[in-house]
Amino acid sequence: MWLNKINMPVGSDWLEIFVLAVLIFIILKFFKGTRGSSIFTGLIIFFVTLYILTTIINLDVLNWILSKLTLYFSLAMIIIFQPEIRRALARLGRQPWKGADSSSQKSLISALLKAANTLSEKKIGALIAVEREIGTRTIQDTGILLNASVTHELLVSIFFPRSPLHDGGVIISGNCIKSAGCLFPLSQKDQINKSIGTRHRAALGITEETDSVVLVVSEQTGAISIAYNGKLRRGLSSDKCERILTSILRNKKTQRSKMNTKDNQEKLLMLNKDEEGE
Amino acid sequence: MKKIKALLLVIWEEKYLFATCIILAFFGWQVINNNINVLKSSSPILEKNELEIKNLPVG
Repeated sequence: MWLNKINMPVGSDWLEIFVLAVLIFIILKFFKGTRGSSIFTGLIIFFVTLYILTTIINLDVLNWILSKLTLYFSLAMIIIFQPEIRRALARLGRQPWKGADSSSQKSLISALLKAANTLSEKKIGALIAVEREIGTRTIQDTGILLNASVTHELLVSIFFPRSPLHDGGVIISGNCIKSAGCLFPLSQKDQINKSIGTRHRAALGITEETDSVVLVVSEQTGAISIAYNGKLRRGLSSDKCERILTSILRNKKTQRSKMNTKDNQEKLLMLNKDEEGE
Repeated sequence: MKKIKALLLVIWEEKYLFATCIILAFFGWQVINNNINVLKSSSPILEKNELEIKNLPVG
């Protein structure tokens, strides 16, 4: 009887199974919605079905092959989920953000908004990433190093058509424009709306790999969007943009000093609900 | 503590997915446990150690 082959767990074995189940759950949740999730589910179903069948019908050779294949299975997982694993490791190795104080943060946000509004009125495309905890050095190196103070005039000049740096994105770190004309990685998600162009895809791409906040101005419509944590919020008004940017950037500051006020938490909850709704 | 609470909440919201995970974990545990048992029974070092233990003088 095939049931005899199953060892009934006792005592601490159940704890082991529970911990394994939680780990599988976390992994499944982490990979949900990524391009490799369907492959992952397919492979799991294939292996589990084959294992049950070979155990029930006593197919020892197939069972042996299956056990040897598990090594290649884990290797395949690393290759399939390479971008996700890279993102997870980057989050593990977060460094404290050398952020500016609230007054310079305010001036940064106001410069960003002023530039975004001007560019939006003139329908000039723009891509501005604000670096937070995870460094963007490799992306900065693809562009031209500037190390200039953030002013709205400079941002507008960078993105002005025919300017040598207008093609690509700008990276801001602290209160300084680090680099311009940078090539951002494109988003690998399959579920992205087909109407989204390369600029918005690049904005999503950098937020999938890092914790940066990206401000995008559409060249076609002049609409202002914000990408954060792999999510894009499109067609935002200036007020909403300011609220979101303040909330995201201030959140980091309060998290660092562990002084999260109830008011801020409520604001963040509202923001998260808004994001889920879209 | 907050993180554990949040995780438990997420698990409760997706209880069916978690039930599938428990089934997967059960079968995974079976495979690993069987492999460990096979390794233990076929390892010459282990066998040698067991023989040595058996041959130890009593008292």
